[in-house]
Amino acid sequence: MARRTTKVKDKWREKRWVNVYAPDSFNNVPIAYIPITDDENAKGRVIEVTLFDILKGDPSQHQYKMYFQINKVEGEKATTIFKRYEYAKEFLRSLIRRGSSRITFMLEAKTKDGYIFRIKVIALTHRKLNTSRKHAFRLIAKDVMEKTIPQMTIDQFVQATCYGKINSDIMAATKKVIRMRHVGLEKVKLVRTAEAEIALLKA
Amino acid sequence: MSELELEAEAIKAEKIEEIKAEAEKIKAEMQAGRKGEEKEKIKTEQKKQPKEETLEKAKEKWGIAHIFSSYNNTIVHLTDLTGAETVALSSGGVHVNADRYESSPFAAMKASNAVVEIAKTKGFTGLHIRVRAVGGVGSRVPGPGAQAAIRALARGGFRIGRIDDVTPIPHDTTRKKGGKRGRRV
Repeated sequence: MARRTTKVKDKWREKRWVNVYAPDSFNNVPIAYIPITDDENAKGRVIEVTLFDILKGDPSQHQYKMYFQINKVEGEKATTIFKRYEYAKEFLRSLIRRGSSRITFMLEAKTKDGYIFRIKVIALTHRKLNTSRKHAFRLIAKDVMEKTIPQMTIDQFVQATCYGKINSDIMAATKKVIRMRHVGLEKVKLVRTAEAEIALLKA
Repeated sequence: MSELELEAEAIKAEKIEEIKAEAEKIKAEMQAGRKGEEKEKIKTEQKKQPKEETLEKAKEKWGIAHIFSSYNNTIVHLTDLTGAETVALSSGGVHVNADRYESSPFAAMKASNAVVEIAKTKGFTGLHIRVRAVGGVGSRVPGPGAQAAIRALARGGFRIGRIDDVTPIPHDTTRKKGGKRGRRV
């Protein structure tokens, strides 16, 4: 045991600390300061931050979590890509209550520059909904997203999701069918980056 | 079954609220007491750093304290923000001899203190906390050690960031062990 502890201490001294920066879509804000041993190992690590940490806006932004993955380390700097966006567990719990319907559906969308995202939409009503209206909502929402997302670049898409632009688009489009209590993206997940997609197509 | 679940949920929510309130209180106390110290610290730190890097926030070393609290033990695991690098690790069982005390608040406190000490020597200033119960088919309420562990971390003089509950909750579940007629003791 004793030998092992000394080994660990030595390892810790070898580590160097690097700054981690958010992707371009968030103006390369520094998000973390982490110890790494070597650059290659640090790739693929994921950092969780809330929207509030980046924007420093109002406290309600604590409810949205974002995950960034390190893709490159250069000296003291590590750059990241957008990996995941989701609601905090507690926030989601607080939204859902009895006597109102929850409509969810999933969709895979490709941005203009070839990044594939899996998006989970959640909508909550004031009272119970019948199935036909639910269907209508899904159709319209899907339509809106399939029209808008392929025209966005990755940066635009990430900003649209995090700043709630897609939500309001859906909200506006479905107003005729039903007025929702809440419309949002519960989860947005990066399935494949453009580079990975190209590699996959070649293989 | 649903009633039971609801009850469990209620208990859990209560507990978490309690824990959070506690942490908030301690946080306030700490901040009141520590402001003076902190300023000095920042000053000395800035002197050490070259002028180009004035990113004050990035210079603070934050970590994540993963607290796994079951009815049998409490594990306090401190990592960096990515969760990939371990900073310190301790558990209730290390500090007590009897098996039945492993999950006790006292053992949890000891474990936390051990972690705090190592973290301080490694220069950490702030912690995010992730509390986790057994989850899955097991209990979804954090065990008795969770609160004590968080309290000890906060008392250790760190800035406390988010406190999250990360109990794994399945969307569907496999059958809980024990069979149809339950555990027959």
